[in-house]
Amino acid sequence: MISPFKSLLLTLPVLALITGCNLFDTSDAEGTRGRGATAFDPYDSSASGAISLSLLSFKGCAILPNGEPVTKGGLVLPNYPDACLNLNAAIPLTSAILPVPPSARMNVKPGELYFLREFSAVDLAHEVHTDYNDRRTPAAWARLQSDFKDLDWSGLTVGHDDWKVLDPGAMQRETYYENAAWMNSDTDTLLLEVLDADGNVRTSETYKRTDFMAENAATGHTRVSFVVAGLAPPRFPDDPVPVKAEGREAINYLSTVKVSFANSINPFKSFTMPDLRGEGLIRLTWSLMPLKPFLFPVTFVPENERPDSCFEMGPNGLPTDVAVRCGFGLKQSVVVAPPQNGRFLMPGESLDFVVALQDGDGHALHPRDTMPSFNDYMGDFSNGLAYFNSNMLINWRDTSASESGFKVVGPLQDLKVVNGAHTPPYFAFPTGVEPAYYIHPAAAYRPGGKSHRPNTRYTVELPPDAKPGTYALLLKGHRSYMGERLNRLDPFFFQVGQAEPTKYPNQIGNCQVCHNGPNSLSNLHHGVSVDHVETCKVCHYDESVGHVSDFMHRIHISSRKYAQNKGDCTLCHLTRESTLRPSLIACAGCHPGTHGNEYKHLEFENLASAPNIYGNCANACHVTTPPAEHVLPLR
Amino acid sequence: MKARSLTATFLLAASLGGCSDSEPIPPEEGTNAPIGELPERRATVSGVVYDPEAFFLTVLNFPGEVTPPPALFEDTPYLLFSAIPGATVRLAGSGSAVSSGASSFAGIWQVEGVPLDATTPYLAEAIPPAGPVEFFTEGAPFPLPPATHYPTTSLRPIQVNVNECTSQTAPMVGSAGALDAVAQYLTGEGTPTTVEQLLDPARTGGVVLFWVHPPSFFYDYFVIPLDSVVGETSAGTLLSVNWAPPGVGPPGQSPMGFFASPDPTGFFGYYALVLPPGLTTPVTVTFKDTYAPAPGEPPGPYGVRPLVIAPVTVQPRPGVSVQRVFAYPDPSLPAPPVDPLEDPPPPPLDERWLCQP
Repeated sequence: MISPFKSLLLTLPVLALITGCNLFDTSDAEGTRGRGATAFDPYDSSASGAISLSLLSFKGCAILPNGEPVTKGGLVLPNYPDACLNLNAAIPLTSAILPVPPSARMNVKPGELYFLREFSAVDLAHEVHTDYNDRRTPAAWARLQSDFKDLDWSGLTVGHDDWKVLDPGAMQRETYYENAAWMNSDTDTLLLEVLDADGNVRTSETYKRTDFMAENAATGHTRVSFVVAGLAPPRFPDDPVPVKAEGREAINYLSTVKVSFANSINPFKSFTMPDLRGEGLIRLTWSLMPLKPFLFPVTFVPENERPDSCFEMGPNGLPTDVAVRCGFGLKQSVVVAPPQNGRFLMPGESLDFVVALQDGDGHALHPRDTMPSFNDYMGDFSNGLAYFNSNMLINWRDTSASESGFKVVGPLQDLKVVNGAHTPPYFAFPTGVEPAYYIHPAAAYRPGGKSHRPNTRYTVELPPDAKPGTYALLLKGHRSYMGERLNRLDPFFFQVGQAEPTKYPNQIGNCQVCHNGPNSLSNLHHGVSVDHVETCKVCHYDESVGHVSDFMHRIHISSRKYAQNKGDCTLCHLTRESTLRPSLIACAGCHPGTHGNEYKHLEFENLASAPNIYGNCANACHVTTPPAEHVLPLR
Repeated sequence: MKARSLTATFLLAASLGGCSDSEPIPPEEGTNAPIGELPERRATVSGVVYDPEAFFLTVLNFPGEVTPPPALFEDTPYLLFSAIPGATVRLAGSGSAVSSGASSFAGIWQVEGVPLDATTPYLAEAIPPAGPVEFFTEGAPFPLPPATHYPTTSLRPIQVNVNECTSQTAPMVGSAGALDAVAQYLTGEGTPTTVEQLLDPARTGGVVLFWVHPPSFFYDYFVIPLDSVVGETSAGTLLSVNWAPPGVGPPGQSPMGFFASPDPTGFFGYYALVLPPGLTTPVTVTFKDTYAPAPGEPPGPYGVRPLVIAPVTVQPRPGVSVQRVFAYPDPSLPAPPVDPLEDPPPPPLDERWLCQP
């Protein structure tokens, strides 16, 4: 009898011949360059084999990705709260904010194939631990009182002490607690069970902790930390006296435990959502907290019971008024008005475009001229389109998972990392770090701002001295729909001043060496393809939103999954030049505290107040002798 | 070989090789932005329609020692109790006017398809719903008397030369406030007048209600009353409008408690200008802050008083109009010294949504 393994070996070449594949060719024959196998991309929504499922929990209550707490409805769930603290209620969530009966519902599609993309759960204590110098009590709260007290906290240490300038003159200090046994575990599992309204398990799947690629605090995932925000710059390193920053109402204190595993890299661990109607439950049991499963009440909504709330797209690439049922997924597209000369925009001309955000099946999420309002988003009436939600950022400690908008930059050949300036040395609209959000976070405070339905038409004026080349219109999209939570960042190129295209500087890349298949960059964080990884820096040059040279190093140096030589710069840095610009912010991600407190005061300086952490250390000390342990690209 | 084994093997092979396509997919270089003919550029304009007198009385009578600031913020209780549902807002400019649908429970309105105009600003006219305005009353600190509301023009221009104008304010007034107080005043002065007659183009050249405020801390959304302001007009009759609890004030008090006075000094910066019929030339109204600080009195939250108030030019129009006027610190006072070593600030926010000329 032939063993199954032998059978497999024998069959593979046959199939390879039949399908014309060269299985041993690791070059780019697939043509996807890190965007994942075309045969099965689990993050490609309805075009893929399964729908990614995100399960979020806050203080024991399931929440929707917009932060609204989910009611248990008619289910008898003694261990699910009748009242939930709504994280959208206020910033900070002081004890004056009381839990209220929740009303949101999490809908899922019966009969659909899902896989668990993300599990995140948060507990926090706002304005409870208010002794600036006490680093013990927040940790004690995490170990002994928080929702995660049942975890094995042995080995806990105080880790990175991160100072960040939020606004000029206003700082945040975040102390991380690291290395607890549960943080370093890699043998634990997540048992996902779907139950009917009577409590019967109808299907289940078990995920390994190692099935999830992302759990790094730098990307908004697992963290245990104590934050003190709204601080004036300390007078000196280790200054024990906290002073309120000018213009801030108060110093705010926040202790957080966030457990977050995201981005499943095992596409075969899918399950069919049971063919049920009405209410049910998803129960997630983490093997490290076996007695306290996380509960996610759901409503099974079959396709034919969903309203026709999306719109057909027209042949002109714009939405029509024809209503159609929404599907999963997120596609972004634009239509740009023709340049005056019919070939390319001239300096001083305007980029005039219409945005069309669609589901994965190409159905518009909005009518032609307007998008849903912020209130539509918060009420779960936006067809999943998500907007900037400050509460999720600050209370939930999310990182950029709902801030839909756009940015225009160029020319591509001039894009470079910005160090110590508010504005880049190339054209950018908006000129600061933040994109142009479809709904600006401040709009929530202006009369009618939360009900305004944004225009889909945008016009960006190019400067009279715009340099010629290829420019990028970057669309940043976020959607959460029936359990699926997606981020997409898509560039659309246009020419200015010349017809000949230009390219990125090609300073960094190669991400697809590790990030391929389901693990490709298109499926991670913002969802930008590896082909356009050089666009990260056009927003991330201020530590208030993360500086690319900081978090990119920090993510990989602290990763338990990054299997490459961490001193080998050549893997990601394609040019020697790009490695020879050391700064305190670029190096501290891997080498915290190397200089002790000698340059600590530079962390307290504003972005454009050189000398600061963005200053070039190469010319100061490291010019002739790059660190010997670093493997640099050849000259 | 078992079918199951074959199937599993096929799936594995396909997933390893990603070879469902016979031809390799070309590497993605990025998508060129598709070019296509777009419809004519039109703007979206939105905001809130509210009764400024109801807003003011809610502020004035709000219970508690610590109250929200008197600002037109999204979730402030003052807007909750003064928002007008079911109204429409009509934007009139150089071309044909465009209107919103009915305003929401919270008084939110939105006009889509507004033609862009870089030269002539629009004015927002708030048109009442059919039937009486139904304010939200549950827990209201000041019970609003029944009133008939009138189409009211906001004289704050809206320059629609961008794709979006948001958070615009459209005030609408009714018969139980200053209009009634003015009508009673004129009647008392020997000219029997009703509110309807006041708004009749055959009888008057229109009524303009001015609210004079100290500088706003956040755009023009803080609407704080300003005392000790004297008004003067180049044409028509300018009356100060004051308030006392209904039944407590002098004769001529409106159901809401307002009363008009020829004394040009207002208690809280509310004035009514009644224009003569047939007037077509612009009218200039000047306001002056007459507050005299005591010696050594520290500057208030708005800076050193007296504040400066720029003259207001009004183009006569029939019916009732509302204009908010903001004072500002005296520019002739010495400015704080500029630190030549100050670092460059972050770039300013894109505030074109304000749509101010």
